Amino acid sequence: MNHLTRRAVLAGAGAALAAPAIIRPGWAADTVKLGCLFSSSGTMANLEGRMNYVARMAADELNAAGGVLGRQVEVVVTNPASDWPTYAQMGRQLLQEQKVAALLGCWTSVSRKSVLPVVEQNDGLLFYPLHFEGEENSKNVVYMNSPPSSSVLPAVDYLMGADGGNARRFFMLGSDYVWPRTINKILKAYWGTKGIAASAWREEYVPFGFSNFQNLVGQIRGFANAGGEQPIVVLTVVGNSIPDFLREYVNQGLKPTEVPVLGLDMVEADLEGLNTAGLVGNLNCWAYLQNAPGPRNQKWLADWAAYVKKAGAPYRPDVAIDPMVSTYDSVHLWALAAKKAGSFDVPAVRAAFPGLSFDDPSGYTLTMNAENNYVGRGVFIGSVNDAQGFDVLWQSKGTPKPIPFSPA
Amino acid sequence: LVIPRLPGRLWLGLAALLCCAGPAWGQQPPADRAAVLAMLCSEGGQEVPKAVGALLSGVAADLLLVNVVRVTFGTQNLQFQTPTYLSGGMRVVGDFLVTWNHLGAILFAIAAALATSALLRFTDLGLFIRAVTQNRSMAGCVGVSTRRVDMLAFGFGAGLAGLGGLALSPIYNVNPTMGSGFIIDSFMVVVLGGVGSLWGAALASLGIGVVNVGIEPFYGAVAAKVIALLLIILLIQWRPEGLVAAKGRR
Repeated sequence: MNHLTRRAVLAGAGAALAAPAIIRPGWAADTVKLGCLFSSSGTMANLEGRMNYVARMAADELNAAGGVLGRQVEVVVTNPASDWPTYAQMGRQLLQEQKVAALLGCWTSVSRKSVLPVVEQNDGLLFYPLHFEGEENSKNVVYMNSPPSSSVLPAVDYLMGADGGNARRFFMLGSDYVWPRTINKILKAYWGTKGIAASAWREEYVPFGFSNFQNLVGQIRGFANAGGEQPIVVLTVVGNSIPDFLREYVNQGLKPTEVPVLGLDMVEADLEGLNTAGLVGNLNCWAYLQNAPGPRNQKWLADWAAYVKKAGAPYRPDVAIDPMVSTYDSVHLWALAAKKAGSFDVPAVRAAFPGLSFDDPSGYTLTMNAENNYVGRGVFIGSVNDAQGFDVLWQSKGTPKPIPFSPA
Repeated sequence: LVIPRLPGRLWLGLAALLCCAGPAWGQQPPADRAAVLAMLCSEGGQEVPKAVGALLSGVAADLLLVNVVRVTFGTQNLQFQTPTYLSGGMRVVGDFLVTWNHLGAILFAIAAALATSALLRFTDLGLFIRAVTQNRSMAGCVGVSTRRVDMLAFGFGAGLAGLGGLALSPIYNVNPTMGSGFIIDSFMVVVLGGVGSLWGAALASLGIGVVNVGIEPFYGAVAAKVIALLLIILLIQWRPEGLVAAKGRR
């Protein structure tokens, strides 16, 4: 019983041989690729997943305007699944096999640290869209967001000032990895210079993905009730731990008027699905807030909402967060640099960075200097409102010059 | 790897639910996704390779289900209207606050455990399940449809895991990955408690929860997890069959 005729086999083989020709146009030389390292599963999925869509939206904008150096921009998406070593592996594949011109990606510092040797060995370029702990200066990473000197420290200063309630006691609660530990180390040194004794703070860490904050919120309550000067919580937990913490905070009856939380990784998306009435007054600090004033932001938000609808993205069209805008800025800054360099080669693109500027949705003009790959951004301090968003409480006059290494 | 004899899936699902008793004292809750956990043992026969296959297919099913939800509904947290009688809490001693949502989860878990126990003890289905656990081939000989009991027990276990998710939703955020953190914990609870033992699972979930939260204030949450795991390893060394060994023939 053999149904295979010679003719059928030949036809099948012919079709198989012809298939690459059909596939090929997608890989043709008239496109240039950008690779994304954002997880769409695991504890970071809800936050990182949106960045893939933002990158595509920015690429669509470039392509609609004729592409970059005559080539269409193609965004290659991966899923490192919130598993840090996988970021390095996927990054290597993107650089070596897909030959991407640049990488966009990573949320947590631990994932960036894992990709760092890969981009350095392959002389790639990674655009990192998160504010972070600084203390790093690689020629292969473009630090799109602020080091502590231009995000965390101004926010802490604000809380320690008269407007912020003269905070003098600090409960640091973070996920157990490099970003929270470094941030807290910098903060402790900073408070030391302000003459605050070590007895005025406490430091606690939880594992990634930790969700049961009953005990820790109880400890915070005890810390606040112990009396003394104004306490605050410096929250550096990440991912799904943030909304879980906030729920327990409300549930145990803590009030932002009594113990405000400065959520350093807290973004608009973390408030989705929460009743924020009990959280009004908690703070965050970023280089962009959804409620940033100005027409550029309005236009960008409208574009995003339209893109979500068009692409059928499984995200809310009316929620935008800083790393989304930073990813969007990354694509445009890369395009500006490539145009200026007249090439997609990493050394040429890198050489084109100094002096670049880009008017981004935050209302500030992003600038790059000749000293390092840090991007100058504005500073926002936001305060939770009852509509699952942040109101702008304070914003910087201009863009402070980023200082990679903390003096302390 | 000792994986359940027949209705292990049921114990897993129930253990997952019971773990939500933990949160009152601390750690250890389950998840809606533990439905999948239950599946880990759905095909678990006596021989290990089959059990491993079931475990792998369970994990695969887990990935599939989570990703289907992720793609169709998105990954954002969904609003769960917590009933007013489940928010807030009561101060007991000093600074110790008992919150209603945790207390609610405990009562809910106890009720589900009692109902499960009653079902196993007093209904025909329970009788069949016990019979198949204790001696599968003999139960088959006297006319129990073992495959059917397998399926019913699996369905029941999955349902319990779903209840676990419900018990959790006033405490945690509702999203497709809300259960992922609890899969390993639930699995440990089952192994530690003794596969096939309802009260072993209850004891183990309570024990792990209390140990975790008891250590947390002194050494921090990270160390608590490590110490709890070490204790479990030691306990399993001491009693490989779990705290409460299942009745039945090995």
